[in-house]
Amino acid sequence: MARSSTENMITLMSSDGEEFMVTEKVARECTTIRNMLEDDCVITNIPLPNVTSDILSMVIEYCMEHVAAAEKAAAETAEKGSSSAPAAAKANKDLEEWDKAFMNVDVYTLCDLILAANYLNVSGLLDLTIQTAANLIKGKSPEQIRKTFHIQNDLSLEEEEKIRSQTPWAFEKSE
Amino acid sequence: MTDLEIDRISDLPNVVLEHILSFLNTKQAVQTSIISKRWRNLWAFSSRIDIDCYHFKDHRTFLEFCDMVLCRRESSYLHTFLLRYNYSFSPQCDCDHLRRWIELAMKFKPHVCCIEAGVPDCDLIACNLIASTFTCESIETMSLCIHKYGWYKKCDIIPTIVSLPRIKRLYLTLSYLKEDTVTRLFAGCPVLEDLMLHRCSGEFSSIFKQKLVCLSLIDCSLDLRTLPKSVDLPCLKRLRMKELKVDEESFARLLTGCPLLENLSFENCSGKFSNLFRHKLKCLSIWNCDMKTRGDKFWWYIDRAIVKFNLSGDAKVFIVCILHPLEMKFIWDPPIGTALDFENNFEPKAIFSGAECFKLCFPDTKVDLKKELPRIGAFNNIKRLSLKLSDWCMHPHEIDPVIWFFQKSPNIEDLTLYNPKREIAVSRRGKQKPLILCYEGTYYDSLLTELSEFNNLKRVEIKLCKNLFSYNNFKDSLLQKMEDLANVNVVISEYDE
Repeated sequence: MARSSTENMITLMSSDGEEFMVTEKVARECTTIRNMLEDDCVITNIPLPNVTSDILSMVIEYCMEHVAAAEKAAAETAEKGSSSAPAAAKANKDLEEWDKAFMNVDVYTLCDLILAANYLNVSGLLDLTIQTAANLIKGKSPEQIRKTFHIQNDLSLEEEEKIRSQTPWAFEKSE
Repeated sequence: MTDLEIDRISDLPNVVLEHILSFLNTKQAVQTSIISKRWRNLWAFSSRIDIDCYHFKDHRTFLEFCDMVLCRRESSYLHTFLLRYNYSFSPQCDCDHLRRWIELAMKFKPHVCCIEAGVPDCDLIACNLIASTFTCESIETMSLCIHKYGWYKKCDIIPTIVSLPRIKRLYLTLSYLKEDTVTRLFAGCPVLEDLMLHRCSGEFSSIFKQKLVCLSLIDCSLDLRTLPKSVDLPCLKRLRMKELKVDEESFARLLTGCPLLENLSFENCSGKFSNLFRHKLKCLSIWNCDMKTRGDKFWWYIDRAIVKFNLSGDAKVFIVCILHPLEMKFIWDPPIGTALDFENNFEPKAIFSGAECFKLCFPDTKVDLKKELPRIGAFNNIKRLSLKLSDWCMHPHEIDPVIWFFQKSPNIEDLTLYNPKREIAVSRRGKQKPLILCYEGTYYDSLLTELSEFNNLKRVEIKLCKNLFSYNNFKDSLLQKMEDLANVNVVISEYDE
């Protein structure tokens, strides 16, 4: 059984120089870091020049929560010999609710999280954040999307008209 | 400009933005091209085509849009292809154009293909329309609903050539099947694991001799009594049946042929089937089944399974003996006025006492729980309890079923209560205000007193119906009250009735 005292600790350093000590298991949730560790197993200090401390702390929070949930499920399976389906379903639901609450952020932070999840290759977090962003776009007009994400329209009226005329069917109203 | 007003999304790499767009339908994805220069061509790289004819004004614009999407595609990778089309959309349509278009889309080698189409009354047109999908070797999941427009008539759509070497999941709706087409289908789908037939008809008993893992027969008005003599489903783990007639003999034959069956579900089935649950099932679910017992007493033996019952008014209830259920979910929903008689209908101790998790839901039934509950034994094993009781169950000044359950279940760890007081009836009558009053009084105080007795309690969730959840500061004041529970995680959430 792995104990936290014997577990390797890894230091992650954010772009603004803040250091985060995490267990190797948590760090391995990031495929990018896992690959680094596999290439060079003595590495203990990893600079992450693309991720700010605010965002890194959120990514770590996400990884810790998901590692804890997976460990809990594994422990239950080991204890009872087989996994109990209702307990697993319940744990899944709890984790989903945690994810949902975790995604209660402004669009700026959301985009930073997407970037970090993409860079660190945390597949669960990437799926979650991208789905959240897609839900913010779904059903909105281009104008509403610009407003939601503070996008400046740099197309001239003529350019916009040209695009519309190339694909007029996309902009017609259905009955 | 503060941070929050900076356009951050446009800084994301293309691959990420394309991924976001793949969650949108294709029409909306194309609309994003006028957001800004950055978004101009992103949609053309999306890994998904999702087009619904009802999003277009007429048939011509729909087809022109379809053509434009394929010829402007910049990415050669297509993961998912979804098309919804109806001939009624424009009677002068030519299915040929659409057929050629589907053929072109298949050249992008999608992994998932879903087509729902209403076509003119001609099997040949229907079959030709989607023939190219049956030779698209990249497909892993396919769902086809091809029907003749107007009457939802079934089509014989399985083409002469079937070559789907990667397909694992196939869902067919409104198909007419014959023995030789089924044989051809399975010969062309060597790794098929999951088959669903929805509103299909014809002769397809040869599906009972295949290496399927999961089989669903939904609304196929199938009579299991016509089952072939030998059923051989050696890999089957999940079987779901809806609207099916069964009898003892055919059902026994079916189960004998499925040695690995774990998960069995019946919905709206009728006939006699009993004494059959000696199987080591993991999950059994019975919804609205009319199982006429004609005075016989039926004993079902179910060992260590998740059991879900939903019994409608017509169901004659039978005696059930469940040994060590892992989870009981019991929903009783007969017409108003029908009374539940636990003593005559259930072997109470056997059914409930072993469960670890118990969900009881009497949404709208006149169950006199005060009379019935004392007949059920104690629930020593219950760790998780969920109660959704209608106002009919409640006797506010006498024994309260909620309190009663607490007294009988000393080991609860996790409790979910659907606002356990009289508001349902009141809100149904349209008077929403008075119902609040009975909550602000002493109800939750006495609930709290009861709850503080439980040493093992870790989590309490109180689900409030929508109007109550948003009423004044009700939620907050309730939460404040519940703070007195030491070491218990209290959650207050809302639910839709």
